[in-house]
Amino acid sequence: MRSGFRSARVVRWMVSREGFSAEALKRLDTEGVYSTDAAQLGLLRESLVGKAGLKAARGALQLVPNTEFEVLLPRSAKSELVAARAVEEIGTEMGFDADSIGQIKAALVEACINAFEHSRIKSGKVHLRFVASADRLTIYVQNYGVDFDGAGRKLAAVKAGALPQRRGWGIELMKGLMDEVRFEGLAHGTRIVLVKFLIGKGESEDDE
Amino acid sequence: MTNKSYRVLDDTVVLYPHNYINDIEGEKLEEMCETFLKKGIKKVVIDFSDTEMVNSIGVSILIGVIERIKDKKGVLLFSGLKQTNRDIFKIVGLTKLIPIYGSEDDAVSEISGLDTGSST
Repeated sequence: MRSGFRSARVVRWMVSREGFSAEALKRLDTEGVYSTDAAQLGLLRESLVGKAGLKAARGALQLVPNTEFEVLLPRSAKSELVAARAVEEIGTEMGFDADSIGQIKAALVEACINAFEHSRIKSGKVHLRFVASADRLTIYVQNYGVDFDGAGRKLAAVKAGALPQRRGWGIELMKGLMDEVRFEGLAHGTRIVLVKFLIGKGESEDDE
Repeated sequence: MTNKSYRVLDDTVVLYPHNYINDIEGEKLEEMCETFLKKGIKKVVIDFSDTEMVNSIGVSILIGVIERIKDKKGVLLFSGLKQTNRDIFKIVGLTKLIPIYGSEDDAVSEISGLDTGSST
């Protein structure tokens, strides 16, 4: 391991929110210590990870490591909107932009509707778990019933100018709005996993 | 003639769906549209300015509304779509079929110049 660091040099680097006095700077310079104030540090971070990365990092700092939230939804009219409200709060805290939050909310609404529709128990509840990590939000939507509607099915291609088919858009919407969608069969139910990255897949900070 | 759910301007009706278009709100919209089609109003603008979300059941009903207006040789325009709803309509393929305008006024201005052979 040591040989791998032959060219490495250990330095001291001090960061001060308010900056350094002239006397302090002179002392640091004499001792070969690097110094940075908050503004310089901000510029350095931005040059390293870009504005998008900074935005993501700021959000992640508020909720990491892997903060989890759980919600139990009863079967009642528009209860999926409670889930949407919850994820709006979590997504905002994480630093997602308004468009991404809208997409997550719409996908989650679809997952909840599907979970209720296919619950084996008529009064069955839907269990939601939100995991906020540094780079993504993962949502687990679990029912206690049969498969989600058409999890492995693909909609037929629509001819140009023709109307799309009327039913069965829930899963397509989830897939289109989220970065990852997985369906997991469990012993006593089914779980759908929705993932949204803070910086979308294939999207770099230079895209902004 | 004004109402918080619709507005009639000569041979055009503007429909204002609610905040969340699900099965119930979608059916209300469908019924309202059918009522105006029966009255011979075949120019329809749906203004989504107050609509935060359309779920998949709402989408299904909207496709039915489009079908119905098409059957009657009418014209349908959308306006005021929020980005999430635009994303949803794009996934479903509606953005290729229905012209979308930024504001209700733009849509009404466009539709009023079209000829559908309305009886009103």
